[in-house]
Amino acid sequence: MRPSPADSLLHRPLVAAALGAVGGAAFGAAFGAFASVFHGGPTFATGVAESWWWFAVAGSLLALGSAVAARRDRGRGAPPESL
Amino acid sequence: MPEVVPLTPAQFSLVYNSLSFTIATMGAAFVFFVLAQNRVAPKYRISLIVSALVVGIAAYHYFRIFNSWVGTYSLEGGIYNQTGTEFNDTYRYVDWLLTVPLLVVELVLVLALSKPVQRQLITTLGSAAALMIILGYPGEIASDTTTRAIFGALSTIPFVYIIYVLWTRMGAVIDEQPPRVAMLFRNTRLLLLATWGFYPLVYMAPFVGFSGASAEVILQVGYSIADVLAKAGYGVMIYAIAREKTTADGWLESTDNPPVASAAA
Repeated sequence: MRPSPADSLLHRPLVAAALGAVGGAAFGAAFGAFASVFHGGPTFATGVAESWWWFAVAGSLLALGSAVAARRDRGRGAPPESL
Repeated sequence: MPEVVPLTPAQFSLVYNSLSFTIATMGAAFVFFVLAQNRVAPKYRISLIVSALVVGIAAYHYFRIFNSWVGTYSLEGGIYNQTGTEFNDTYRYVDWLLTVPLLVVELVLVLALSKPVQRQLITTLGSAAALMIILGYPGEIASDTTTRAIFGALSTIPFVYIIYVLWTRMGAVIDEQPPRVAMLFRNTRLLLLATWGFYPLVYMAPFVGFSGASAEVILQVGYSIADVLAKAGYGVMIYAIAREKTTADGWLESTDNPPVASAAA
């Protein structure tokens, strides 16, 4: 069955948001681990636990914003242009 | 690690509100840069994504610094005394190591230069920015002023190099841009110099015996203001450049005016 226009409209931004969340969580975990290297920084486990969720949310929003902007470009009939 | 000293309620609140304001500003700037992607041509979006990353990382750090500030003091007899937990603004250096190279990267990206020129500028300026922070860190955590002075001097070398590249090599590149873009770039460059200039002053504070409660308050509020200007304010300037170049390229708002590409299709 073909997806409805509404499904089609939501599909790619949602996929982008999910992928952005995964990428953001990985970045956040690495980031927390990195912070533990610094003098007075958190422990490795605390650093990872504190930051992964923050960057998962941020990554999701960032990817969603980019996907919506790209979708809007296609709606304009503009040629796709890579970042 | 900063010295923890008793504070008056006004001093405590001033830092509390400054940190709170900075979290809100960075958060709002993040949302703005995410939504503003719609308003610039695709080739300039990467600079807005980098801007969003910078303020997102900063918001996280201010959230942590704010929590540490609240946990370090408790109100007893009208004075904020230490709770036993050390105030930890280590996250500032973690933040700078990531965001400072990104700040120079976004300035290069928004110009959409040829790939070889862009790659070379990003590599040299990004590396110099990271080196500047890395070299400053041993001095920051050192207990003696000699070590602090040595690493402070070493980290000044890449700082001067960045300023040199921005005013010479990139100055020549800017002259080829549309007049309004060139003007915006020059203003952004000045904002970068003014805000980055604040950090070495704070770094040098121990050399002039600048310490105590008032010093701690001034440093925290000063860092907050400098970060708001250097990250959120700077990002808005980058957005203005991207918008100006978008207009110059003929990529207009589809809601009001169909873009050139659409009209041609």
